[in-house]
Amino acid sequence: MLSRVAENIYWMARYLERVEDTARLVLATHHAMLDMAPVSRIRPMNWEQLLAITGSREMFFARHLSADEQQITSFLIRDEEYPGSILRGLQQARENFRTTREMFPREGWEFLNRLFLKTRSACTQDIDPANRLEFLEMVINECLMIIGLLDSTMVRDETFSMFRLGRYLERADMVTRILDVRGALMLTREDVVDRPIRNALWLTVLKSLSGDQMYRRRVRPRIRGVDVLAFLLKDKAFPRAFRYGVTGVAQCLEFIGGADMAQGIIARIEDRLYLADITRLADNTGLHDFLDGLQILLGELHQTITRTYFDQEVKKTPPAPSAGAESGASSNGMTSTATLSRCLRPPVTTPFTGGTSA
Amino acid sequence: MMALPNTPISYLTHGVYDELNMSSSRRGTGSCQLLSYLERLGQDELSRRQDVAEMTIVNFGITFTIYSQGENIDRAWPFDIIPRCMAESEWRRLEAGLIQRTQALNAFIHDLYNGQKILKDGRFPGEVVLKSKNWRPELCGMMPKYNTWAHICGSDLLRDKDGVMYVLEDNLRVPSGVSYMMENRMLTKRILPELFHNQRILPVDDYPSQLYDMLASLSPRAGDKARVVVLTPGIFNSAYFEHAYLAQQMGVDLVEAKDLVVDEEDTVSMKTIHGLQRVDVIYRRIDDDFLDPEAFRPDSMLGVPGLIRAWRRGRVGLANAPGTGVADDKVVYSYMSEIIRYYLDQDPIIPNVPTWRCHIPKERKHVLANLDKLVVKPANESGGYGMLMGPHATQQERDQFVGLIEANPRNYIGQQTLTPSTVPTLVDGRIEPRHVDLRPFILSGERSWVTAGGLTRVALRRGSFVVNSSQGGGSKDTWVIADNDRGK
Repeated sequence: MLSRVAENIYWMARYLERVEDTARLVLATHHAMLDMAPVSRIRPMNWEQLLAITGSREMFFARHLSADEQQITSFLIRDEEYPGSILRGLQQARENFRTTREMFPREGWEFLNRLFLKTRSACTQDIDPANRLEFLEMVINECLMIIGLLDSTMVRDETFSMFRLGRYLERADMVTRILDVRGALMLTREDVVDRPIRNALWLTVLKSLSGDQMYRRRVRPRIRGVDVLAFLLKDKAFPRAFRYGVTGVAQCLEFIGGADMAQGIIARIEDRLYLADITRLADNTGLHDFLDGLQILLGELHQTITRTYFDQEVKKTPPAPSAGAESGASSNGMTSTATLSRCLRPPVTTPFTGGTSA
Repeated sequence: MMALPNTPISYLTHGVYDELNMSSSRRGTGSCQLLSYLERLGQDELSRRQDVAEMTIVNFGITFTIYSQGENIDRAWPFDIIPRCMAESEWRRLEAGLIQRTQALNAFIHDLYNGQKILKDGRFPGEVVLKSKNWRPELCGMMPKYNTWAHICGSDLLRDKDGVMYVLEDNLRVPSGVSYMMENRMLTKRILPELFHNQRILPVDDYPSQLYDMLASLSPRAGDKARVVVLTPGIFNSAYFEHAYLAQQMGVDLVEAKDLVVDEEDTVSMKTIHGLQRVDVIYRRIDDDFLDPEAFRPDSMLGVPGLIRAWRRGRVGLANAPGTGVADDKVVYSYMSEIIRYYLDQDPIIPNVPTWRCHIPKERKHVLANLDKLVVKPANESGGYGMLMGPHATQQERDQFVGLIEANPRNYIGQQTLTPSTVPTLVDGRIEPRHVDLRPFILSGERSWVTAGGLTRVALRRGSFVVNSSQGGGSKDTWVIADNDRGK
């Protein structure tokens, strides 16, 4: 597979996963806020957390003075300048798909194109709380339809593996973000947040990863912080658990081959998971540092994958210089499709720097 | 005049050849089923189906691209649901005529680069070729496989008011439109499925397989499965949709110039996630000028350095071959019947549009004296640029062309003005006659193959002859209806 194409597929998958995850996040928060309404004096949870999770706080406050529900959801759903919004994510996934459509079953393009057009048309005006649910469910369902189509029709080849690779990496990243922000809040101050509320909050975390039912079936019917944390970090069988995502990445790398460096990083991630003392973390001792460490390793993993597959040095003849107006200003030859932005989200902890190209 | 009984539509044509009227007056040809079917559907249902078609086009992302102000805009493909019909018997004759033309053209190009016998025999004026901007003297002596240069050709056919099909031009460089031909058929099958039950409409979906086989046969390496790629200028090109479509349909990689490298052994490779991999055949959708900065345009930043070198050494196959454009020229076109007679010793099956060449004094005189009746075209442009439509031009425009022609007579031809035939077309819910042309695609390699029908382009504006999609043109499905199944 061409390096240029591989990179586009990888990013297309990341954007698509990001769109779905963002929709889930907003949806779960929406539900939780309704549940929390009567006890809101405690404010154990608020919409602003979504900005922290998505690493978009700085960008948001650069253009908004205050952060209310409508402004934040509108920002995450339809902001045309925020690269992580659902609308922009779909636009970028579509643009990446457009240049690689010959690699996929044609319905893939049709589905994604339709989803983008529907979203764009819905986003011409603000999506009020009454329509929000329906809209987010539509986005999630159609993302699943695309994934389902590719999963049930594509040959298990490098293209498919590259797509899964991007999807699992993005998903693992999202799990650490959700746990970092929500977890930190919930694991503290037993006195402030009483047990029923804490459980409801853990339920929100599970729901934002569509994990509530699976948790109950696999772990136990009772919601308990330490069990939820163990489930979402270490479960081998739940597809939205961190470990499952990392294992998925490892399998894809194994299939594509030649990725010893990247596999080394995955081994380090697995070591950390194995050695993690979940009970201690659940007592909120070092959870943030632990998740931060995982995010840094995921970042390294991404860099290494890029160097291994997309940015290899070609020996002998240098690549042809690219045309100024047509293929953008990128100088490294291999990744010069500058029209397609590469948006790595900053980790939860560091301020957003606005960088959009890799 | 003819009325469609169940609709308030009257379908009027006068002074032109209308393919539906002509067909229906000769009961038994393919169009008659279509006619009665449209009558039964009625106006509302027809409009509804047109809406479904347009929705499908948007959802499927069938687009052409317009690049403007720094961004590319995808426009939905303009499509008319009423197919254009043709009887197989007529089509077979056209098919033979198209194969005859491309064989003669290939022989002509090969001769120009290898010996120039036709010039030495005085059957073709040398200065016409040797002064052409598409002539590549550095390629002389090059012997591509099967002595074939124009592997993919798209010829434009027009039916004049006398009912005769003429060849308007042969596009030998990078003709486009074939993907829309296939998409139009896909749409018609969805929109008017009933019509496919009682008559056999020759399928068009075989094109990608035929194209792939032809391209693979150009591989310089024997044995192993050839690695074929489609080379595109990129997503901003107006035909990018087609480039991606063809790569997808053939199951090959779609590459950009920056994905390819040529090494010291003149091997062409593409950059993959596993390093460099050899490429055997390139279906290039880039003009000669931008193919290789080492060869033709040192100032060009586009292209793959060393590609022509690799091709000349027989290390890679290129379709169409560099240098083919020399025959994509209106003056060469005007000699088509001589070229066919010279190389094939046959009479042309499809006539040319009567053409006068301005580099011949007597013919130039005729053109200058009849500027108000003729169409004047520059020899080397495609896409309708720089033309004078005599009957519709102002005196000032004609005067301007007198100057242009006298300054550079080699670069101009005059052609008889044709009135393209009309076919029924849905316009704002009414069926009205609109002018059409037809572009079949001809593949030439070890053997020749022609699409069944081709791409019918239609001028959607009343009275307009302009079929370009960027200027109010649309397209229709083209049905070649098998003769033996007719009238069932």
